[in-house]
Amino acid sequence: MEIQEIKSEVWNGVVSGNTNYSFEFLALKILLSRLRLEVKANPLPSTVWRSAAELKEFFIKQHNLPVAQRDLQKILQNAR
Amino acid sequence: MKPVLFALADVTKMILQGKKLILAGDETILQQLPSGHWIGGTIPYFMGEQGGVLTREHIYVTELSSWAKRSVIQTYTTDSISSIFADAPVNGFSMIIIPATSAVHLSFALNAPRYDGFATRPLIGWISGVHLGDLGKISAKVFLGENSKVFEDRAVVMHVELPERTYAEINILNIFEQGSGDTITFPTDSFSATDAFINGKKEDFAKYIVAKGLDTHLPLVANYSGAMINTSFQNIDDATKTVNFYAPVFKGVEYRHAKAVGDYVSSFTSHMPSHNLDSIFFSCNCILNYLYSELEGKQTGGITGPITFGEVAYQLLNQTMAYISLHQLV
Repeated sequence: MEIQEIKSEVWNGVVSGNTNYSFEFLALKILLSRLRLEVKANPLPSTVWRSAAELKEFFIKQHNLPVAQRDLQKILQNAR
Repeated sequence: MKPVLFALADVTKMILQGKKLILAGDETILQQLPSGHWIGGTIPYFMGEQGGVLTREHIYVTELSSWAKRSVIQTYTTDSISSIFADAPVNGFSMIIIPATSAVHLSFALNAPRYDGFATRPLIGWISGVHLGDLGKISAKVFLGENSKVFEDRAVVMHVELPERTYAEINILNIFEQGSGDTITFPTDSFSATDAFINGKKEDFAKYIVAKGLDTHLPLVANYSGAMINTSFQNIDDATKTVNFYAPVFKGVEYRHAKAVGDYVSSFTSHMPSHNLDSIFFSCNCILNYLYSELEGKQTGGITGPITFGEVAYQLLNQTMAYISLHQLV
């Protein structure tokens, strides 16, 4: 599945911290922690939307890395 | 094991041959090097071929010439450091060296997670330091080899572009884990704290540490979505009742005091990455691990690198080994 086709609810769920994933990619772990902290501190829809957009952009920029692809699959599997 | 520590004459020759180099060494030896395509930072402690070593006569060399497609060297101040991820090449990595206790060190430590494009490009590096006997007497420095400039108030960065099907991956090796004690949070992002919330209740943090008998050689550990990130204790200032850290604590992040570790070297080798160690082309480890675990003369599973006053893997880390490896897309 193309990253652009992934529904916004999926990204929103990841940054809201509703599910714990066992990610491999260090950059993702560190970034996601910061995004979740921001959502927790200010749980407005605008914060969730902004954080989700940043996470999506992260995957777009890293799409060719095997470790990012493996972590993206974990998100997609959980969303199905 | 390939040689990593070289004498002045050898490094001079490499520079004059036009090699792209990342160097670590004592200030007195780095300042004797000629101009060339290199960056460097001051430190006289290393994990060398023979294990942990203190030397002012050798330079730790990371050579990029054989595989780097292109590299650009830049310096950053507190005003420009926020663009570091945006400046990085699309396919490559950036190596940063920051002088310890400089304004840019403090600024990067506190603000990096909010920089534009944070963690979207691989950023690895270290905080330069000094011989521990020189603390307070001389300052840590970084070198810009292209015009033989020395800075104590700027970070130096080599942005390295890689060939199309090669990519860099950054990882960390942290032997510390969260203990089972109290959950500790802090009211602000800061390198120091007077108050902390212990399981949600506000307490005098210095008093808490003393009352609990916490071993301040063990860091505070936060769980960043599965990555254990340390913040190390620097000291407790009795006069001001302030606890000082070597990296900032962040508001809202939940910390726990680390579990005790038995033998560092055994723990380290048991945590070693399972993939091919030859793919690791640079690593650095913390001066606190070197000191507290008495690494001088000991080997850590064939891993070498400068011993540093802080490590960078996207953001500032403490008491951690950071490393970067190269891989090929299949």
